[in-house]
Amino acid sequence: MSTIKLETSDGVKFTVKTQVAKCSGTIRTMLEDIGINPQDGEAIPLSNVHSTILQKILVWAEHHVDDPEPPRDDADAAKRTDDICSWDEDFLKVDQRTLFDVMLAANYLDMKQLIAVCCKTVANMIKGKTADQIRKTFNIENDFPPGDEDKIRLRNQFCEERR
Amino acid sequence: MEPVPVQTLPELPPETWTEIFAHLSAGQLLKMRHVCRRWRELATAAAVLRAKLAVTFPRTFPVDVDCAPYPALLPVGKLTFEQVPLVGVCSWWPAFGPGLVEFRIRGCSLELPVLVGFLKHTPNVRVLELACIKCTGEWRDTDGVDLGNLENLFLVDFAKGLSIFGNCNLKVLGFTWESVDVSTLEFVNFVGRFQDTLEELYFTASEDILVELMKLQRLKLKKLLLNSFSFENNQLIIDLCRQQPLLEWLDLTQILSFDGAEREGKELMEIGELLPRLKFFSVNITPDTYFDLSFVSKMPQLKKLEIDGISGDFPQDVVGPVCPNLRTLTFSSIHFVCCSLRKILANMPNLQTLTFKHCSVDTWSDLLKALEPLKLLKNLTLWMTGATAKTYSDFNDLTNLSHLKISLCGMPPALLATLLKRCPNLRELNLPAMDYDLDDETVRVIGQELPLLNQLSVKRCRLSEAAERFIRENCGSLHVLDTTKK
Repeated sequence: MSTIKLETSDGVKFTVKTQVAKCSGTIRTMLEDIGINPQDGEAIPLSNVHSTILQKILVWAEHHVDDPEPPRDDADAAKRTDDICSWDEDFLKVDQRTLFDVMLAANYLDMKQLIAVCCKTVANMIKGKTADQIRKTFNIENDFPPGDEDKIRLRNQFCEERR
Repeated sequence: MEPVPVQTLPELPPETWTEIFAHLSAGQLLKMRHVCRRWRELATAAAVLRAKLAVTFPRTFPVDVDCAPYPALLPVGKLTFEQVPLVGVCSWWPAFGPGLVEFRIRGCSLELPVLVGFLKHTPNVRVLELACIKCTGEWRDTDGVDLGNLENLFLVDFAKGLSIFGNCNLKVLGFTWESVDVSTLEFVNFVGRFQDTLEELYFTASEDILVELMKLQRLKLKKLLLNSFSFENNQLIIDLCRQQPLLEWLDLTQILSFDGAEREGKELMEIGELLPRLKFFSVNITPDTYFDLSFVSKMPQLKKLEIDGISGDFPQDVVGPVCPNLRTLTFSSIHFVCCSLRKILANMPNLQTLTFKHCSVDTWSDLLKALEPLKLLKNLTLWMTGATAKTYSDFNDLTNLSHLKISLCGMPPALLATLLKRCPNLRELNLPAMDYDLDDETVRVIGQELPLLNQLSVKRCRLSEAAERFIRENCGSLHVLDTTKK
């Protein structure tokens, strides 16, 4: 089983199965296109990822390493958020900071499936909440000048969902 | 989840926010605009999100050259003018029109030059609907109209200036009329222009039109819906099916009904044999003393089936179909005599969604027992559906049922409680028009025996404050509790 080394922003080195590391599009490109040779024993630097987050992401990659390629995005397919598998659901039961850090790292590492499941998780945190509840959930400050919100409300009256 | 101070949450790239927001409905997306300035920008920045948003003008709001975009319009992908007096092209239209992908005009009166003026600025429109428009004047100066991206065209009682669409590559055409005259030649020539690209066709059929339409040799449709005011020639429909073997979607409910007589049973069988690719079929059947549904078995790909019984009885000795791939089934206006429903549902092992509208059964047990073989059933809707007798016996758990909607069914309160107990995996319960207040046992079951219940909507009936509090305190999984009182 071939392995490669990854080095995180805080200088921690991980030895990872090549196959698992290749869940990351970024690493796959480095290995296959740029021709970085993992046998050299040099660690691939991941300067944007902290060790605690990489550790978490590797757990996910290990679990999903044998997943089949996802079907091509069907533009007509409804954007569902209730199809998160229970393993992923448990995996993403983390504080928001970690969830957002995982998303950022997954972006950097180009892991589309992980990004997708994180996005669904965040969408589920938003669904059914009022603007006020959302601000509380994500600790967002209301930065509208007084009166602005009413204007938006007025505009929104003319918008509705249509198929 | 632990709240974390806002400044420590890392900033996600805009495309990630777009992906998150793409999961939200238009209504939710609009709410995002209230959260903060950044989210307001994010929520309408991407075209894919704008395409979810539609503007509908107030009905009496006159639109003319001077009309201000009141209130200042959001950039949106879809716009509908419905019963709006369209007097002239507004000054903001040239800037707004190019953002539209869907443009619908319904029930408006206008002059054709004004319509041309609007269409000159909508080069990106993919869906155009012109429905029930009272128009005067002539088409002129149509040179600047570019509808090269148009794929879906819906014309309802509108048949003027069809040449404007001549260069489009339509995939979907809906062309129906009631109060305007469209000649057979006019219609068939129009359809003929798109016969290489057209996949879906919805139209007002007459015998003449069908005969002429079948002469279009290159027309290969996937979806077909016909409507008509008087049509009795079943054989022509069968001939049309023979000529369109690629059909995946067929709705015949607006054109004819098949009765239970042997001849018409055979006709349905023939349609089944001619259309092996059919995934969706909607049909009226007025059953007689005996009825054979095995024509459905001839459509092995069928995923979705709708049967309207026109208030008839499905008799006891109905022959049920074998449908290995059927996922969604809807029955309307049928009385199921005795065990007929059980026979019909016996061989649909993959059914996930089942809906009854205006149906009835002899006893509730006839319905609930019939559900037992449906091991994968996830969604059940009972709408104005009842039982002649109120008695029922016990039935098995509906183990996979996650969404249940019951409306105006006259179901005894004790049965409702029992039914809910039998749905251990229920995630969404919708009781939109209860005609009685929930009893204590039902409230207890909702609070304590539905560990996955996420959404509960109880409308019209009274849910006491104590009951509401009990449910909120006991049902830990509940995210949404909607008790709008009408």
